[in-house]
Amino acid sequence: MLITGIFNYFTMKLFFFFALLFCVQITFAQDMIYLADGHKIPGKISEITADKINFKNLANPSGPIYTQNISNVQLAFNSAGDYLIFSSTNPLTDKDKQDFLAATPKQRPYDIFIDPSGKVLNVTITDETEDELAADNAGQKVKFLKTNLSVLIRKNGKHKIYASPEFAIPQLVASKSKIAEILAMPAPAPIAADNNGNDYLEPDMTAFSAKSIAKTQEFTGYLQSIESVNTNRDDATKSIGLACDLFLNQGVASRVEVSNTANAEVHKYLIHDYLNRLMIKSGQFEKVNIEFANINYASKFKKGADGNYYGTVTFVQKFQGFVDGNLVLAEEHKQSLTIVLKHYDKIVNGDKVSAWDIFLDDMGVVENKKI
Amino acid sequence: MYRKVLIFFILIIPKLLLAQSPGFEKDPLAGVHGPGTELQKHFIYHVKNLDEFIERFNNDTTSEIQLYVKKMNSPKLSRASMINVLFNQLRPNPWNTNDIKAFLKQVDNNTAPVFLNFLDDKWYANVTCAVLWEGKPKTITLKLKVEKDGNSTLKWVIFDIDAPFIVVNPTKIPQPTIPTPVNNDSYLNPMSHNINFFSIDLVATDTKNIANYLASTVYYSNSLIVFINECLSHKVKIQSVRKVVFDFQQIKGWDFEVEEFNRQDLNSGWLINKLTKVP
Repeated sequence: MLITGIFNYFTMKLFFFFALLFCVQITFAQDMIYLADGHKIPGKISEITADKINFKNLANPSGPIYTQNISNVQLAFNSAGDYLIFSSTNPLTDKDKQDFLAATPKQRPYDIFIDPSGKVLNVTITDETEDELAADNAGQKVKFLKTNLSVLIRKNGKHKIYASPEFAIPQLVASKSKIAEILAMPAPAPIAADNNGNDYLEPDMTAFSAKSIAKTQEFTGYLQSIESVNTNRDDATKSIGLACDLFLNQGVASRVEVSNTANAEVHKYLIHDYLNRLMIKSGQFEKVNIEFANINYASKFKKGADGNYYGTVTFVQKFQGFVDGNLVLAEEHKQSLTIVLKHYDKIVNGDKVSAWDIFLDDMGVVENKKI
Repeated sequence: MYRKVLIFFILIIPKLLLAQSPGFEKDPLAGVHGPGTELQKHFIYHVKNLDEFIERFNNDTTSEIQLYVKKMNSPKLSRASMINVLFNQLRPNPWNTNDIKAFLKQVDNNTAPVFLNFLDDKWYANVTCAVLWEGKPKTITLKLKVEKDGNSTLKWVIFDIDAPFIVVNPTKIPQPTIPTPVNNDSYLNPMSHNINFFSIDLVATDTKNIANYLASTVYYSNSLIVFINECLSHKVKIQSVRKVVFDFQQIKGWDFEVEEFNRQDLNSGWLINKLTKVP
């Protein structure tokens, strides 16, 4: 048993070592060979002869050299963003091959798009999501759906072919001289960062409005569990933890202000402390009735100075507490919950893209005591 | 059940709104029991925050109340009836009904209707706070406005203060030295008004980032300079927000104030409580 455990431990170590090595290789020298049958092979091309391409598997750099017949290859990109088109009617020169093999990744002046009509655009990408790109095009802010692009060659040499190779290859052939012109241009002046560099592509507000309501309903579900006398203390404590997880940074800095229409008292709590207080308060009663109005009011999001979007969801709750069968406390709580639509970066296929997620934050509670 | 509740409210809301004249007749349906609970009924009527106030004032077709009406194929609500119920009908001082009629006529003009705009400059918030000023309890009113940058991002900022106990010699106060903020994430976000600006206490505690809470201007009033200096020397503590009143000057010839009335009446929430003709 112990030996198996040790073996597993070292196997895992070895796996992570090779995984890391693989990632490092990809980062430093990713060439891509596009075959005529539609497959593509990542590797490091070491030689191009009259009829063969020799390359190494990036996952095994000290391993064997692999070979593909030129007749099977349509296109190859190197890690610098240069490309070669393999065609029996237009064979490559030795200089083409030498330049391609000698190129090393370096910063290019522009990101280059080829659109489906074959038009070549030199731009500077300012932000991107999984579906969309925002760019500066000679001082104009422009947006592109990735599905509306044919080819993208990034400043850092990485490339992406969105169209099928059959569609993109003729465009790459036709664009060769235009791309060479762009690469010879001086780099544009750095773009002044708007809004502290937080000029992100706008998220899908309709989807996130629905998500903010769903998160609020999840929160009210936990509130019900925390306040119910039928919930045992362990489950209520668990609900407090789960409710806090819905908040920005697990609610470590999210606050709740509780005011009461019957007096001028105002109290502020951290969300965790507020929920604990609700749990303790409910414990004083033999029975509680909790009723939420079936309707929430969600305001529209507004963009804040930090680039995140802010909204509020308002909901109302009636709380009744009974002792010895008598109603001893009746309150209505109007709760206004701040919703934060927060930006973060994630890596998709090795590229950093923008993404958004919904979190709850500060909450205002107005208690309207009836008994 | 939910559908029945909606039908109930959608049927009675237009009746209620149409029944309201500028003289504020009593809700003819008050006390009528329907399938919806009182809690839900009150929540529908209640003007829940300033955003909803603006939506109702503008008779925004995307407002929640209009979406209910549309969903239930109920009669269309007129803008005048919608605005009419945005006045505080339980105000102790009687309204000047002629002023209200003239105001409605101007705002709900068929050819040139006038709308409120969150992004317009001509409005601000009076935020009355209980503070400890050099250890003594005092009340101050901070004046806040929405500041936008060129990239359409928004934040609430303090641009003035009303604190009668601050007595200053106007000629002797230099503009304060405000530190460059260390964290641009600390500020009053553009929805702070919907939680009664309760994070405004941070202006006196998060003094490293105080610039983020203040209007971007080269000149502050003498009273505000005193307040800023007190904050920077940690001699003031904002305990709580006591009251928020929004002052709108977006309708030409009129100034009106909106404040919150949390009460068990269908005419509740954020309502117009003062309407003044201005030359």
